[in-house]
Amino acid sequence: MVSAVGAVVVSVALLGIMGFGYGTIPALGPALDPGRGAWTSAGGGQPVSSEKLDVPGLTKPVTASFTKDGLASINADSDHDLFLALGYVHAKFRLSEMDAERRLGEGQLAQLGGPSDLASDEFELRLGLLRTARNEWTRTTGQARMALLAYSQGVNDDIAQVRADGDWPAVFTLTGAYPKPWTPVDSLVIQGVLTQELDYTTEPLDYTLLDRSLGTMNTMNWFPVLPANTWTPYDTGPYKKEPLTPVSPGVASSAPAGSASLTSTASVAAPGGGGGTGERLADSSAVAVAAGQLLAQLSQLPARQIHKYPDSNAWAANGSAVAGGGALLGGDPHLPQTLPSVWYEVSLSAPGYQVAGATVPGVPGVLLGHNSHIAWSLTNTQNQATFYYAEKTRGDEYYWDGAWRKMTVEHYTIPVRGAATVHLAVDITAQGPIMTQAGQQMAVDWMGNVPSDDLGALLGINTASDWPQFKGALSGWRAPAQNFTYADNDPTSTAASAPSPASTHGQVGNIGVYAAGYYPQVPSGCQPWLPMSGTGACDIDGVIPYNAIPQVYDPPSHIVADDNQRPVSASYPYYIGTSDDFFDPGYRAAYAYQSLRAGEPLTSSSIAALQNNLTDSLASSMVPQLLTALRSSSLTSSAQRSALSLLSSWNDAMDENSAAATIWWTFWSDYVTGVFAPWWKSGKVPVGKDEGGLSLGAGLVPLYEDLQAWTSGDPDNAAFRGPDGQGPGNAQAAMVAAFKKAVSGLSSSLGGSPSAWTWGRVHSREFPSVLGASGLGYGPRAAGGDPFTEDAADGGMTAEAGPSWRMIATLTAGGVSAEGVYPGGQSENPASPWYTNLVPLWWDGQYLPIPPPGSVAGDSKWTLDG
Amino acid sequence: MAKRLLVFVVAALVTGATAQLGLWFAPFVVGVLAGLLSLRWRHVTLVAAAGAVAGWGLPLWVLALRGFPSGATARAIAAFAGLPPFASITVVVTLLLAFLQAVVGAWLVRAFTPRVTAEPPAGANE
Repeated sequence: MVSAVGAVVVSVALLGIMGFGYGTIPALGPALDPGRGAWTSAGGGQPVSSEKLDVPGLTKPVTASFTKDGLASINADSDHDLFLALGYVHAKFRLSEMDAERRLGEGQLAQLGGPSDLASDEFELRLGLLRTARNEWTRTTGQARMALLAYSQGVNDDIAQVRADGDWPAVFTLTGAYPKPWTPVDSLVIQGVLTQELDYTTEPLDYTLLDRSLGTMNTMNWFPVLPANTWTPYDTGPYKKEPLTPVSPGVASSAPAGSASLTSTASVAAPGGGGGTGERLADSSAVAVAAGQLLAQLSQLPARQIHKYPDSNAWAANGSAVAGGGALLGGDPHLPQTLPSVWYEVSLSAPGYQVAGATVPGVPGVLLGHNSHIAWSLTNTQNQATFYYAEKTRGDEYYWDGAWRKMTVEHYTIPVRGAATVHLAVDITAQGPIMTQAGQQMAVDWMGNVPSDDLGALLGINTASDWPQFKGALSGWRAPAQNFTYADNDPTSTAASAPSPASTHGQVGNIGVYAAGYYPQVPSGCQPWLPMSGTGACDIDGVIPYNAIPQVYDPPSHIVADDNQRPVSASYPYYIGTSDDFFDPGYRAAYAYQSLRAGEPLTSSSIAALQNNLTDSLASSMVPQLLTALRSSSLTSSAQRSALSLLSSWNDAMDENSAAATIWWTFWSDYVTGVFAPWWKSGKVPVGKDEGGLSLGAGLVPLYEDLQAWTSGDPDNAAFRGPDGQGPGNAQAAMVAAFKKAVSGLSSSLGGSPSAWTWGRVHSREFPSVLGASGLGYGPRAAGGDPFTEDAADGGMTAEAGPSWRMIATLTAGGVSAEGVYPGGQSENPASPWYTNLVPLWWDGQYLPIPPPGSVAGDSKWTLDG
Repeated sequence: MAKRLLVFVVAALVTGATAQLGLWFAPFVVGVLAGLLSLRWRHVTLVAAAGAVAGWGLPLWVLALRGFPSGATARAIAAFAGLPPFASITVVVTLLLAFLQAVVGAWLVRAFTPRVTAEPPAGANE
């Protein structure tokens, strides 16, 4: 009897677990069935071969050809068929990635990953990417609507095929969570995810905690609105000061439709965002509690979900700066580097589109690339686009614009793999969704929640042939604000006609940067870098008008360098953010301008060399001062003297074989920590609330700028004395102490002679799997670079962010050609030869020609026929 | 011996063929049948379980023979499942599931059927 009961229990348990799973254990039966389970994903790992594929919805046959490296070229007889085929090809190679991205944005990730992803889902549903995408879809018209519908059908054609064949990518079979049909809203959600990753920031929350810990004076001295150091803007003025443009009406994704606060007549804000205190918040300690709670919530999100690093490059040159005339454009956006990559490289050809470059799987259109007349690339503008509001509440009401009002409530259900479904209610005020209720109800007004015709703009620049068309297409682009760097091959170029000592006949091409997007402004007296009152006095009252946003066109120098630096000078008459808003400190931009000017006349090789350059220009400015300080001090050990010798002969390159690079970086970290750690300790800065935004070890850029400026211009700054007056006292003493500490620390951790302390021993790069599967990433591998090199490596000593795509376009009267590479491969299938095949090329600084639009990329060819 | 070989081959063919149809529980059914047979034939349970393992191993072998990247796929499956990214883990777990199903299926039958008190000598029916 006991045996019978045991047999029944074991049988039921085994079949139950195998059939339905248990907790986060997947249903192993169907998952590992060798005939229909995850094993069938091996089919997707085979090299692509020529074949005919049935793709319903096409009006005429379309060809998709592939180079031996997987670069795709799609040729269609109509625009509709082109976007349908693009959706099909994207899904063929990136369906898991696309589904994971839309799940992330739509708050459905826990259905795939279980309870550990619940924090992400709750955050996304509160923030409202899905609400925004739905709102955008109702407003989408014209080419963008056609493209989204056709693209969705293409994705669904692939899903239907995979379902019929049972050849699901392994992650679906293993989780049992198969993709639902693709819709245009899904594409817009993915666009929203990218916007969030580039644009959603938490500085006002960090400022709140810093203000309470360090005091207002120290906080604003050390994290000022305008940085302490000098930088090299690409837009040097003169600047226009015009009335603000109202935010577009109907921001229903974040606030009730017709919200007067966001559509009211605008006024010009004072430079610097105002200097007063605005309406005082009733309970600043409650605001600090809310800020801490929200930061703690955000810290549970995957690292790439919130914007962290400002490392992109885009440069253009024309006229006399370019060998043989013409124009050059180099672009390498720096993002979290993952496998598969965020990019899919493709060339598109149809009657209305002749365009090639990097696309985002899930979105129709080329985001960075070229057509027959122009080339463009993007960097993040880094302006403040996220504003927090402390709401005055009473039950389910909030006080706004002189009256108590009911909050709008949205209800969501979140399926959780291996756990009960979670129900979430999101309260929404005039400013936007309530993000936390701990201590103080805090709403967020984020520009990513404003419906934005990004896709319409993107398709517009895909077909633009000159600067007015390009700039005009960007008039509908709102978020994320981006520096669109541009070059063309216009034979009537102003660059060609501009007199220049080195000018030659036959020069063509114009260059420029237009920083498209919304730059929200609040009334004078409000402090947007802190949470503001939600009663209406500090609501966003407009954005910088289209003609006044940062831009430059055909500069006399024939060179423009856009490296995430603050794009305008201190005299710019609008607030765009503080020094803590991830503007790059300007080291890379300064070096790029210097290097490009020195390299004239430029060629594509010059651009390639600069994209792969490892010079740390912060080191270039600081090491000479360090050496001066060290030579006037007594160095007691041979290791210190040896380290000094290495630094003395160093070329400032963060090469993986350089020992001086290790000494420099360790010194610099110790210098920052040595000066500021006593203040952090004294003020009890709650670093644990937000390691990335409050920890000295995370690399707080404003402090770098402060130290750089003080070391040369204010060496006796009070910060060097420490909170108790016991600090080193001045920059020189602090540097010597930091150097000795660095040498001592490296002696302990690496041992041996300083000449053996190579950078590659402590610094590496890693490209993790985008699905979080350990073992499916690349690295860690010893690597050069740091956050301030053109070939940037960011995210710590094991860098996970950097050049996600490198492109160089050459524009001449004969046309436009381009080469590119990204660290990854075209296929998301780890068994595919195209999973990591581009990594070695990227690592070695090599590029592949981007197949020209309309060409047959290679011998492997699919004929897609409806 | 021939009957055991027959049981092995039939079990392998049944589990291998039904796997192509998505009938992942076929090894359990084979185990149940083996449990019934074991009332008459000794050691048939283990033979059938071995056949089920072979039946699930066969498609994997064919996959590799056809040039599919089965090793890399196995490694990826292990990684996606949160296990160490070794192909051998996925292969072992897959085959183990077939084996366990067959053994448990046979056990279920044996638990509900009277024990045979006097089994024929080994090889008597061969």
